[in-house]
Amino acid sequence: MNPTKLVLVSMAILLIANQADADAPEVGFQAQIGIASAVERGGEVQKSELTFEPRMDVWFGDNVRLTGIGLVRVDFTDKLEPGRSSNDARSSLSSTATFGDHVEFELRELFVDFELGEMQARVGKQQVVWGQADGLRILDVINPLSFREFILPDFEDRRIPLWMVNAEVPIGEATLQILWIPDQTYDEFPDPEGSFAFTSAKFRPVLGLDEIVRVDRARKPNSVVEDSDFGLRLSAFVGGWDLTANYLYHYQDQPALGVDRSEAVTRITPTYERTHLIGGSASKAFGDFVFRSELGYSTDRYFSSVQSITGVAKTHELSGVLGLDYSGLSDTLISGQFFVSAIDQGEGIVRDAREENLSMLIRRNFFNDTLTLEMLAIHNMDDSDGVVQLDVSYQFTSNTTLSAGADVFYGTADGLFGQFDERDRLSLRIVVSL
Amino acid sequence: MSTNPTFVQKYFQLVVTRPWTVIVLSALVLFASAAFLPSMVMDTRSDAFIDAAEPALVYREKVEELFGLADPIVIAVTNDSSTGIYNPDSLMLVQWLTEQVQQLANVDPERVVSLATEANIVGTIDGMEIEDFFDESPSSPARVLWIKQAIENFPLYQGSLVARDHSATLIVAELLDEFEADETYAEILAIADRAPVGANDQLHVAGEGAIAGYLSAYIDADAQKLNPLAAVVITIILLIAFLTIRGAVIPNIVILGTVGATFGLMAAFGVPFYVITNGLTVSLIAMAVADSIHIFSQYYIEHRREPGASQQTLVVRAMVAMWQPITLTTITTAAGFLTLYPTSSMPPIQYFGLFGGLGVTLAWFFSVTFLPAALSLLKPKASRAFAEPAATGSMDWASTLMTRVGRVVLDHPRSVLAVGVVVAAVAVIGAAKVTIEEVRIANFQKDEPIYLADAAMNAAMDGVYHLDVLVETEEFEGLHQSEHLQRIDRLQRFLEAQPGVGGTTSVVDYIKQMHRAVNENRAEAYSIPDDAFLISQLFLLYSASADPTDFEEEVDSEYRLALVRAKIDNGSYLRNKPVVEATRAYLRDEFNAPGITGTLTGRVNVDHYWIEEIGSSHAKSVGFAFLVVAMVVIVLFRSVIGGIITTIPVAMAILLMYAWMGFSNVWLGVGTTMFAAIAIGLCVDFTIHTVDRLRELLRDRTGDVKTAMLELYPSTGRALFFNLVAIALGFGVLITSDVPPLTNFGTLVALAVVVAFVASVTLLPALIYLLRPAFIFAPSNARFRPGLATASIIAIGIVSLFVYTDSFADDAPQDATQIDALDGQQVMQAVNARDEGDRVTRDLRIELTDRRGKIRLQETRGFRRYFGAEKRTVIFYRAPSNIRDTAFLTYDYPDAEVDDDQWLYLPALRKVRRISASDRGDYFLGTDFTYEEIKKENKIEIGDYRLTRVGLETVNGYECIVVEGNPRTQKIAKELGYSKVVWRVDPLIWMPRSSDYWDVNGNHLKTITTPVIEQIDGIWTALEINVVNHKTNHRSAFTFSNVDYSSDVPEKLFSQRSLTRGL
Repeated sequence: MNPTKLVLVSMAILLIANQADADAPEVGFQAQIGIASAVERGGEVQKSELTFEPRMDVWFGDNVRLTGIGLVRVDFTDKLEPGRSSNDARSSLSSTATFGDHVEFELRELFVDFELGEMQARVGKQQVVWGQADGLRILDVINPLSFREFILPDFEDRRIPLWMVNAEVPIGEATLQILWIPDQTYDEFPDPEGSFAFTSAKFRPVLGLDEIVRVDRARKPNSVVEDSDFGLRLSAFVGGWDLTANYLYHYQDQPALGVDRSEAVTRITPTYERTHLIGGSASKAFGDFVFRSELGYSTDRYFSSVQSITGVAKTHELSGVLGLDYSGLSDTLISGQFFVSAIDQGEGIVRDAREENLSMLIRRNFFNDTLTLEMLAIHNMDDSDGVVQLDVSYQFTSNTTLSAGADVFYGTADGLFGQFDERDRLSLRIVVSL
Repeated sequence: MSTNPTFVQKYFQLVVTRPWTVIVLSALVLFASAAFLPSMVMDTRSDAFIDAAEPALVYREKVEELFGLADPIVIAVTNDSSTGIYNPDSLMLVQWLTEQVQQLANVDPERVVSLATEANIVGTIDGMEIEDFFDESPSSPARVLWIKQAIENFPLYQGSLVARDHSATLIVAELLDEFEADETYAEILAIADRAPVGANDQLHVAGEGAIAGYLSAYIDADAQKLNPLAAVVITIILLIAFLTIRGAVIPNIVILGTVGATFGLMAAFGVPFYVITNGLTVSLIAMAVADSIHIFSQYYIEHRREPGASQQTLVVRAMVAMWQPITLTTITTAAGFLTLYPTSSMPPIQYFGLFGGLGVTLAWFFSVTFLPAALSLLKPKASRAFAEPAATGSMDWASTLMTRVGRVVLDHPRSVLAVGVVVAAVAVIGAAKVTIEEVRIANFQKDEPIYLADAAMNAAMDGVYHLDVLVETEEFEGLHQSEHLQRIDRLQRFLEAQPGVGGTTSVVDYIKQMHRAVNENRAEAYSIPDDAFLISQLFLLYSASADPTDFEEEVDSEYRLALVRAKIDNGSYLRNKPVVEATRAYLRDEFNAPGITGTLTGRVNVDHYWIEEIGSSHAKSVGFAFLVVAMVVIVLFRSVIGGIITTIPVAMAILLMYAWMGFSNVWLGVGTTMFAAIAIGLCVDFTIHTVDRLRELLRDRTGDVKTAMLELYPSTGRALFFNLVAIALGFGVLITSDVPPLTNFGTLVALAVVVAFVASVTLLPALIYLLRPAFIFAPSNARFRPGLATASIIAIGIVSLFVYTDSFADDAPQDATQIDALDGQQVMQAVNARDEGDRVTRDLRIELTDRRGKIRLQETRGFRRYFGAEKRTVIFYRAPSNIRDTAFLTYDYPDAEVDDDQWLYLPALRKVRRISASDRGDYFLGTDFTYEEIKKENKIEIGDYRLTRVGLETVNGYECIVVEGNPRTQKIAKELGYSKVVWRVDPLIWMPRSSDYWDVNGNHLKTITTPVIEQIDGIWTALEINVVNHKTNHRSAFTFSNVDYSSDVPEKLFSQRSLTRGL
């Protein structure tokens, strides 16, 4: 067993042993079974998968709870991630287990909740979400994402849970959250053959036409302690405002693509780089409106550069989001957001100095929340590309939900969204909870 | 239940071939129910006899809460020397006792009243001085004299704290928890035992708290004596009847199973063990054995007929022959018991009926499962009691006796009838003398110390029973007005003139005392000042020099409400009836005036109300029980004449019992009210067995009628005889009880069955012999046939009908004029002021049904807690898994101008979302309740509506005040989504029992009903709330469970981090 895993598991066992009451623990099981299929614009089946997500909770007395969530995925089409998934971006303790090309097991979450005095802690593999923005991320960068289906699935399913220690301590009226994340797992991008493999030139180094390229294995940090991420969040509810101040010292989840042309073959080495992220969020309800905002400043961001010898240049990034939710119409939520990210474009960085995105979400519930219609549009103002997601979901019984959706990309092939113009799809999904 | 004999035969065949399986299965039934036994609770409070929703009780509880009153345990120090208690020893004893009692865990030290805690009010040069009587220790004769003079100058304390003849003084200790009264009573007795008693001092312990406390110990002791005695008596009867061990052991196991399972189920359903539940044990023992007696008799008869038959064959034959009559008698006896449930208004009696009926059914169950199975395991064996007459040359004594009776009856049928008529006529005279009465202290034997203490206290003091009047004035400090005080004073004089009233107390007595004090203690100044200003000055002066909470038992802190207390020296319903009625009339005609109203309350008033109901509910239950058994018999014999003839012995039995009560002065009270219904159920068994047997005999007769009828006596007559002996002696055991109501109950039932038996073997055959009714003489080849099934269905149907309609029937008229005066705004304010507990934890099951009947189920757990006036609520969804961990948190601020704050945690986003609180008219997570309704929980934001009272309406039998609300502005209407709301508020609990809503366009939108409301930890709690949306036909049903107002609800639950973490 991996030493970190061993440490974490033995900590968990110790805690349970210490805190558990003498009574027999209470155990609860739940599970979800999903069947989903998606067809691309050309009529080609993109995925047809069966998922099984068991969840177990064990309560040891009032204060200690152990939760485990697993995932078994059988993708009969195997186009999203052809072949076995590489697990390259994942640390060994967060790896998935694959059986053939079609079957994948993943321990999604496994954590212990407990209380020590006023402190509440959750230790184990988990998801932690920061920030107030929906869809695009500024502060919500603690867990890496899987881009297996680009940004189309729910965040819940896209986030890769990490092993970490998450403690929350009340300080007066405020709460301080402390995170220690020894798990070195990063964003997971599909292989070039995958349906949602990134093809836009914006996301790879600028290369000459005749260059012979070799992509090395990513250089990943590997010291459990030294390379841990560390985060703090102070949150408070003041005068009707929900306020947070955030700090995260972490490895950026997307690698910087270093280019080495010193030899005949151009070598590209993806390297993960560290940065400090300082930011905050604020939200408040005003009558029918809810105002949400988020601001983040990263000290060390690495982008592809045409001038730099190493192919990447370091800069800082300031990003923010303003959002407004309107719920004045009954059963309806209308939510608009404006994102902006600004960098210092010195040293030939290929990204624009400013990037602006707009998003609009309209959701309406019908028939006592059994039928939900939703439209989410994200538009990038610089590339004039974007995605429109339409979704209709119907709660057939307490346990069964049917949903159908259409995901439509538009815009230039070089844009983040436009590169998937050909991947427009219709999807169907049935989820049964047990 | 099929009458096809092959089915029954097959069933019993199966039982005897698989005896162990059957024994294990019936043992499982027993253990499964008996497993709950340890959770049985005792509830011997006298209030337990009153329906918790009885208006008089609810009102009294409100008043008790308002003035912080509780049932006290009273210690009397008496001294019959010439100086009475005015001697240092006695007074030091009072001080010692007071200090000791104050240290008890279940006693609020602030609420102990005695000479050692009270203060004198005297005038000084400065005005008024308040000095504790025991400010200086009463150890010196000088101080004793000072105290004596002080009391003599303080009319309020005379008769209430110190006997007017100085012979006694009281230490009154209020209990914190009535349920622990028994321990506290024991502790106080122990204190009394070791008290440093002076030469002529005597100590008595009594009071309502003591009565409740001692009663449980008393009953425990009684039960420990009665139950084994009943078992022994039954065993002896069985031994005599069968002269075999098996005949005694197996029925005893059936009894054990019946009693264990019945009480286990009682515990399982959370029904407490009340005072009279003791009688149930003995009743069950007596009844459980009846089936066994008939089955064993038949078994031995079968054995005599064919001694060589295998045991299994014998058992099957006996069971096949007996299953019909025992099933039928089970139904009739159960029906008799069950009629108590819908017809009585007293929970202990209702449950006595319910579980008595259940017990009889369980006895039947064990008799047709365990009994044949166990019996089949033994070897065939004859009973000497059933030896062949030819072999021994004679019948046994019992058969001989019965045959002789038969001869006499059939030889002189007319004389038998004549005697019957004469007896009935005399009985009618006696029955007319029956009176309704209840005296709680009479639950004890007359030589019990507590009985003596009660008598001694009531003799020496003004009385320890209370009739109270709650006086309400409209304005703040209304009781500073002289005219109101004069009115109260006149009320006190009126009360004091009533028989049995020894004295009265109210705040007026204090005012007079203070008034005199500030007037140099002049006697003529013992009066109410004319000036409201002076009155408030007096109160101010008092509070400046003494504890201002001294008056909290007499007046509220706003001086708006006052309690006038009349002390009555007896707890008799009959004696207090004229006092209660006269006072009610006085309040209505003389006292009530604009600005001031008086409402009658107090223990005596509560007792008056519910005992008054005993009479009507008794008539109801007797009539109903009669109706049910008559119906069963009519359907069974398919003959109205048959029904009438068969019930004549039953009627005789009941009539004679009333005569007994009338002649021997046994009153119709709590203990005796239930005898008749039960006796009817038991008595009819005798007539059914008799008639059934006669039909068989006369149908198959070869010779003349008389000879055929004579055969009844040695066979069925004998079995009935032992059945009678078992039941009569079983119930008779109750006669040895130390609890007089149980003694009476046992006597009456035992005598009733004796009469029923006698009438069944005399009157009934005589009548049949003379009348030759067709239902017996007409040839018929079946005895019961479909009648049995039909009869049981009808009986059960009628009982359930009554159970159902009863919930509409027992609403007593509202006796609260002040409620009538409230306007719509005040009604809803009262609704908002309803106590909903400082904190609560509960589970909520949500059932959502759409117009096509499709149902979605959700389970949540919710917490609510007040932080000052701010209310925080959090709801966590727990199932199904697709919405699990969804959580809703709200902070509801008291200031209506400040928007509430709300958050929703959505597991799919893993994010707490702030949500706008102005959407309060939006539907909450797919239910038909709006966010506003979820937050407010049966309350409203008063400022949203213009409220008008529009009348009264009855909802599910509860009289409700109808209030219409119209949103004050168009904006509010839009926010709420309503243009009009109508609430029907039950003023007894201040909760809407139903409400209707109209949308902004004026269309009827939805109806909310609250069918199940219960009191939990003293807080009225809606356990079921249903809403139907008339536009969408969608329904939501909320069912609450595990409601807990006492456990801690930590503040951190109401935080965003707890939303994220989930439960």
